[in-house]
Amino acid sequence: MIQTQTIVDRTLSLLDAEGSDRYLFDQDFKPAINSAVEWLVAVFNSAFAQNKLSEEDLRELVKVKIFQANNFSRVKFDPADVGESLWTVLSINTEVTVFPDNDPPPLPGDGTESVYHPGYTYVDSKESAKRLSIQEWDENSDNIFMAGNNVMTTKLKKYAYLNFSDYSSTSYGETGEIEIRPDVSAQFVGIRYLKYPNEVTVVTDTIEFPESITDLLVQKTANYISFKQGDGTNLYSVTDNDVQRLITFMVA
Amino acid sequence: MARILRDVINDIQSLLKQNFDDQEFTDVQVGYWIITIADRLRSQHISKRRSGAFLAVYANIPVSKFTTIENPNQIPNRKYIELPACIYDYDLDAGIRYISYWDNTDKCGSEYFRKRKFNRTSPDEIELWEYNPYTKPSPENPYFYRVDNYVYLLGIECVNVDAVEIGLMQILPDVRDIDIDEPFDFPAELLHVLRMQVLNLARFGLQVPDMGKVNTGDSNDPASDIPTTKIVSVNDPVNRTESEG
Repeated sequence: MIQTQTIVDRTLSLLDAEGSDRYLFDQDFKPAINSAVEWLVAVFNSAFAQNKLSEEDLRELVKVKIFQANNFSRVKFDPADVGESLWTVLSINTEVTVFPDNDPPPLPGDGTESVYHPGYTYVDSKESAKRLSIQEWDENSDNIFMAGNNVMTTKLKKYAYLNFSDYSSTSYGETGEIEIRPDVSAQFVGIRYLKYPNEVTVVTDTIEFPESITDLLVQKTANYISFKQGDGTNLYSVTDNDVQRLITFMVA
Repeated sequence: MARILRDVINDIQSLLKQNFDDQEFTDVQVGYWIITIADRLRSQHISKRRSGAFLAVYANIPVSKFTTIENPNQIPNRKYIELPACIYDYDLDAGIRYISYWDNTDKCGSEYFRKRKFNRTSPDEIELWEYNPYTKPSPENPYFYRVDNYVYLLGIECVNVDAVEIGLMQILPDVRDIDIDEPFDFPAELLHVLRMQVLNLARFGLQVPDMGKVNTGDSNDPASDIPTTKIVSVNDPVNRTESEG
């Protein structure tokens, strides 16, 4: 975790504005810090896509929660239920052991609604599902050598999941669900995901990134603040160079 | 402790990942390679040894007659059994080690499979046995012949035989059915050969297609080989001599 105050203090130092009221938290630092955080999310997304960044770099944001798949082997991630927004899915685990040790309860109603279980903790899992593209998902169901096929039912089966799609209709109310194959209807599913970092609102907040990227965040915050100083300022070019160099070190 | 297939799969997966760390080798894929190679080695091993190590016995296979026919190999009104498993196709049907039945006249039930053993024959040899009283098919001297997955039984047409016992040299289970945590039914002394041959097969598989030769649309020809002037057909008028008119 990074203290917002730390970012503010170091940025003030870069701006040579310590003790000055020229830069105010609400007007200058808060939007700049939040923009820097969003920019980092975009950079990390790109790095994840290229397998160039380990999720351990964002350990403060890694969460594992227990869900129960509906009768269509689908799971819905509802931020309102979970209490936080999803950044990206890191892994989907099936054949999950939970604490307290229990079998999955019956699904409510007609079984079309997956269930979030805040009362259970993920303990262990025998299987992890591989992420498939839509094309792979459509083509793999009968291919025993590919993950996510419906043919293998023994210990050699390999699970796969298809990322969020909206399957809703007039007779099916669920939106934004992950689908898992082979079938895991009514079974526990563990979702390991990155939580989207909270927005900074007051200077006493913490930023949910590891302390190792404090300098990158300071540079990017100062870079955003330098926009207001007009084109071609020294601060803009210096911080921009630093940001590029740090990003290169991190994700190259 | 007997070796299990899961360990063999993991061993080969780990070895392949040393050089191809971005490649995906699913358990099923490696398991399929292993079973393919193991069946060949196992078949060779069995043919060289007089051992019961890989003999599978089915003690109560029902004898039936076809009443409806679904394919040409189903011959009506002949007693037959259906092979309970896929077997190695050795010369002279040696994948079937024996077929026997219990003769009801002997009530000493402890040596069931030794009582009446069927001799192996083939459809084109049957007539030959008929003309000699010592070889003629009978309940005391029964025969069998194999057609596809069916084994027809001769000599027991007039006695009541409900079931037979059969000893088979059967192939390994299909990758869909095999339990990778059960003892792997393979000669332990050949595991090193299996390992090497599977790695060879995998290496061959990884070269087809060569992942380094993705079609990017770029020419691989050296720049000096690329013609810079228009290529004109030999039939173009500019290439014709006057004598060709």
